[in-house]
Amino acid sequence: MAVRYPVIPNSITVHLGEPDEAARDITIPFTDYISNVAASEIYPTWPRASLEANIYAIISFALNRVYNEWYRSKGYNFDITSSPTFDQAYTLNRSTYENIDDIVNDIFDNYVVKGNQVQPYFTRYCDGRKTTCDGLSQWGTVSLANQGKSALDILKTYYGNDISIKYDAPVGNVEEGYPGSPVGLGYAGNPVLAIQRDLRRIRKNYPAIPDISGSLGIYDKETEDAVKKFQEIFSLPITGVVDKGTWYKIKYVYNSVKKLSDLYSEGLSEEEATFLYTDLLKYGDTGIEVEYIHYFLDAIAFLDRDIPRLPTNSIYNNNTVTMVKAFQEKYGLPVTGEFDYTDWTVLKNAYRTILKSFPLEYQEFVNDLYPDYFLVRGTVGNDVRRFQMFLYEICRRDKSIPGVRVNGIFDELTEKSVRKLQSDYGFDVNGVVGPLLWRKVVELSRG
Amino acid sequence: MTYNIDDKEFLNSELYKSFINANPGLGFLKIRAFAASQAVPISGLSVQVSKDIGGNKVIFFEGVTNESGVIERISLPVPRMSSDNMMAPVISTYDISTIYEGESRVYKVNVYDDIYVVQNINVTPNISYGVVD
Repeated sequence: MAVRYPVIPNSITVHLGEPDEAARDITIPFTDYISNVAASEIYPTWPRASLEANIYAIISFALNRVYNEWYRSKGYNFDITSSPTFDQAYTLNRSTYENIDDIVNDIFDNYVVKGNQVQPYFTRYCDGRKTTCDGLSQWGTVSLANQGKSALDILKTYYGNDISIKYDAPVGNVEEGYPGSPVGLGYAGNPVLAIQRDLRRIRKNYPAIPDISGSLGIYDKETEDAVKKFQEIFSLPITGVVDKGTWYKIKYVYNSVKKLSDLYSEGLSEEEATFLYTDLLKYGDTGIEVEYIHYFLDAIAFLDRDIPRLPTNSIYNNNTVTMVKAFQEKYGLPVTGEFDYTDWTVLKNAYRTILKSFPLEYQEFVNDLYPDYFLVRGTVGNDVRRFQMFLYEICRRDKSIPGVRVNGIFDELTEKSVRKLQSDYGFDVNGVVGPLLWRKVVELSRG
Repeated sequence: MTYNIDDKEFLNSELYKSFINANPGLGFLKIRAFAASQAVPISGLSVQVSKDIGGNKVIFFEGVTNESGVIERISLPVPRMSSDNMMAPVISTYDISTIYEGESRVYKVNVYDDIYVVQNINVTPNISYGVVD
């Protein structure tokens, strides 16, 4: 029999009273439930490790109830009650605390497991002053945190050394799961497109979120600004980077907005339909992502004889299929000749590894290689400086290019010059430096 | 009596001086109003934040939510956090009254020194609000 692994529910149904008490049931987002219980059970002024340990216990307790269908198997139509006597304290309409909410957003898909068990552990707890129990003492966690213990150490103190944290459990009913690491300025690909699509739709109901009008699929300054505003509105840390908390909050609000619209039989608008795309690239496909994988494959093939180095253009053609198959075989991936998101991730990692492990005698050529992300207005760092050095050489010879300050900052002047080059050499004029433009600029810089 | 926090009469009173001496810290309150599982922000929701001080109602803030359904940062005096009371801080409770389309509600909120508290206000779903394309 296949093992049924726990899934983090999008929402949880809470009975606002004791199990047999006549009371209302409410269905709320799982993260809101955890934030509410945490705000009801513990003080936001406690040390971080103490807060984390308590929140892990609250999450695991709730997931245990859901996973085992504790109430539903007894004929009730809810997952958990609001009664601390039976479950955990949930207080309808209560306020929450941003520092607690931030932790919840960070760890809501992690839970405690015991030994080799699959189910979330039943993390019994009590306050440790008025009541004691065979489980975690809330007040005791404060003392342990003050002794310098981590959240996991604190949990082990109460639940035994054979417990561990199960990280990054799948989140239910979310078509596009978190890509695994934060997405920010300069990133490209499906996750960025999904973020942009969702934010553009959310913006219709939240007009304070700035529009994202250009460079779809590339995380540019516009996208960053939209993300920052979203984070501000929804009380998330305002970083401009889509971490796990922001990702799932965007998904939640997007789904809410779409659900509301479904009441009007809105369905999918034409704009959104054209905006959605498959994350599988195959023979005959064109576009920036095809160019992107061509560039990386070409760079890898340059150093790796197992991968043939064939001419490519902007179309996923027979040469692409041959190179992709060789790449998939080399890296232990299913050899399909088509390119999915897993291939993409492995390709980028392989490219990164090559950049780091380039043979010493070829180090001077590393400088010519494109970094593994798009350079956009606002990008800062050595990669921008490298690009500006190439641009500087071009500007010295071609006075029609607006110019460049070699300062490591992708500023307005750099963008103007990029746009001029794009216009001159038949690229899409979007001010973004992708692999093909990078290659062109390196080539032009040599005269 | 009802006072506004910037009433000169109240500011000059012993009651205020004693209150502010006992509450030299600042906590922060954010209001978020929405409907339909956060699909629709509720703008124009009236909010009043007050506290009973010595039998008087003192109003610390009055305003309405913006187009995102948010009032961002309402600063409220609270007891200062110290190493002595960090584990079990003195609770400073404020009252929040809201009115939207004739419906009024009251919330109580515990505010702590240098901590952001968020009061979500889930307005009864009404799908005529907001944009649905």
